[in-house]
Amino acid sequence: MSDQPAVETSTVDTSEVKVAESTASTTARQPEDWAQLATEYKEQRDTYQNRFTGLQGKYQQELAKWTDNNGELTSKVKTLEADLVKLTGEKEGSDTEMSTLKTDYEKASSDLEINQSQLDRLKVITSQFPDLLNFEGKSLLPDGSGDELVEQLISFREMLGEQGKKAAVDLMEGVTPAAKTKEADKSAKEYWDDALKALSSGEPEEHNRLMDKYFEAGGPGDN
Amino acid sequence: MADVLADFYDKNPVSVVDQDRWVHQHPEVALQFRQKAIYTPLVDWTNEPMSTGALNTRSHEIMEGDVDISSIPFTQNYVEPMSVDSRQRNYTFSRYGQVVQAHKSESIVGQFLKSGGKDWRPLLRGVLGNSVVRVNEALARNAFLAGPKAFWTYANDATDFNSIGTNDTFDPAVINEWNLRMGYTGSPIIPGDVAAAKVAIVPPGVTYDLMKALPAASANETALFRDVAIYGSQTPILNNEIGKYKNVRFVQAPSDKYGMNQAVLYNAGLIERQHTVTAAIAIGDGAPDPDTTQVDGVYYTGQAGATHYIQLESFSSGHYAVNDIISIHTATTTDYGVTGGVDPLHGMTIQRRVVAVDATNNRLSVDRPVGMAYSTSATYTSQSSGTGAMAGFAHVSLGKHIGFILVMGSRGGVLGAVAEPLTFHEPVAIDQFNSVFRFSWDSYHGYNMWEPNLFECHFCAITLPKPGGVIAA
Repeated sequence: MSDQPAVETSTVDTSEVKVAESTASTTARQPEDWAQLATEYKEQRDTYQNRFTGLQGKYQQELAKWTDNNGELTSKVKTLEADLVKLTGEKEGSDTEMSTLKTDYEKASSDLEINQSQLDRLKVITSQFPDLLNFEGKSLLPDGSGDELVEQLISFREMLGEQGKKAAVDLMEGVTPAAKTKEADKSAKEYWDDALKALSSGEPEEHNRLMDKYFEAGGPGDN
Repeated sequence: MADVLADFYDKNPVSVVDQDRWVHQHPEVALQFRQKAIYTPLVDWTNEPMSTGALNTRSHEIMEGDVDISSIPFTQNYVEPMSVDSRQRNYTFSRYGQVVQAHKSESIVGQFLKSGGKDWRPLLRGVLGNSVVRVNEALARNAFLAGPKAFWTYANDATDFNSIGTNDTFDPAVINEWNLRMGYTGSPIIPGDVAAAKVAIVPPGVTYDLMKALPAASANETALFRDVAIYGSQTPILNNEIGKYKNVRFVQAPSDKYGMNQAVLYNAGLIERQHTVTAAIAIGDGAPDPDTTQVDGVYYTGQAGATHYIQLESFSSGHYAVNDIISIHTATTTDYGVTGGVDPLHGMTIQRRVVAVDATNNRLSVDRPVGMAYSTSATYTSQSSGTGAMAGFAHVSLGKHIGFILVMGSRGGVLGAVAEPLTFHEPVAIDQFNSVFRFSWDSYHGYNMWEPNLFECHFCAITLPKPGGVIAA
């Protein structure tokens, strides 16, 4: 962009003022010169009119030039504004992505720590307490890590030993644990009733299973 | 809580009996009905004759009088009571039963014997259970067909079986009439179905014609058909259900392994050929010689010592063709408008697919042996006979096949009554080698027309399948 047109306009204005001052000084002439003066003024008027007309063209050219420049500048401003919005959006997207990655990283770090902790725990159990491994599989062992875990597992193992000894003593004393209820102990009539219930409930596979049991238990001969 | 579909399929002559009276064969028979029955579950069942012992029962129904909506004078102290009246219906029962036989070499017999004769389930999952279900399926279907013919409808402008022509295939336009005629006056057919949909039992040929008709209907009509896969997760689905159209759910009656279908009345329409069987047909006759000819290129069918054809009176070349489905029957009827028509409800009417035609010797061979004896000589007048009335043993007929669509508006159209529970009888070997066992069952129950407004029998021409093509309607 250039500011040259403004300088040119200023020059023209200054020239016109000087001419006007000169014209004012000539108005002090004698009355006999009125006709001549009128002629001079007319010439001056024509001169000024011609200048004015010429300046009008220049003015129009300058105005158009400024208008064009203004449109170009407005377009450029809009483009820059759009670029700004786009870049702002991209920045926000990058911020969000960064935040997500950070969260993932923190989660992965946390998981790694947990896995490492579990691995250490398993190493302790497999190397020092292999007899308790089945309990770990069922999540029955106490929590903890390091020396604290070792102490807790020793305590757990001792407690199990005492329970086992007590069961053996109870057995020798004739106190046996209550036996589990087995399906095979049911009567054929009970299997029959259960099979009919399964049939009514729309469970044909269960019905067939129970009918198998029914016949194993004696079938109709036991009814 | 009982399963919804178990509730639907437990409508049968076994499940209606109180379980306190069940014996060890009954649960398996109930399961067989659940898996295989189409028509029996559409019957409502009562076990009242078990307590009354009456062969004929008259059921009374109170009819409420008309209401008088006139105002009563302020000073009047006595008004006529609303009238009350009644109407009655009769129901009864008969005895049904069958004997099936099996050789000890068959695995189902072996399993039965191995269980000490206690576990009948292998037998009931095979020929014995099939016997019970097939008898009751046929009785249930026929019970609906025994309703008043005034309620029957026919495709297009047909008025009876005789006037059902080639173009009278199933037209979906009748479904609007079904919805109009059968209002929701009874119980919903499918338990738990919020839409209280009607149910139509259709043969595969009607499905074929329906699918062909849908694209020809307007675009909106076409869009109304819903394949069962679309709504199957939202509501209980019946066995063999194929889709839903205008609140009618279509169940396709399954064909047996020989291609025969309960929802087709074979050769029951206009007779095209009918000849008299001139030689007695023994059980096991009719199929090609297994030593020389395979049926469908695969099966060595029947016994070499049997007669391998059905002997007819004189007929001409072209009268019968391979893959025609013929009826062998002793009874004819004009009940359905057909002169010399096949009676589809008669006990001696069977169907077979023709596999060989010998126009020189006037013989037909069929896809499998005839399972009952046609050995009683009588005078038969067959429609295509050159000699008219003559001594014979049966008719062989080839006519227009009729598709039977049972449309249920709601439950209660037919009432089944059980007087004695299904009973199985301990088998004994009946031969000198203790090898052939006969298993028998019998039952005292009946199927009775109860409310003809709740269902409709619709008949149409039908396309049938045949090896490598179709038998056009």
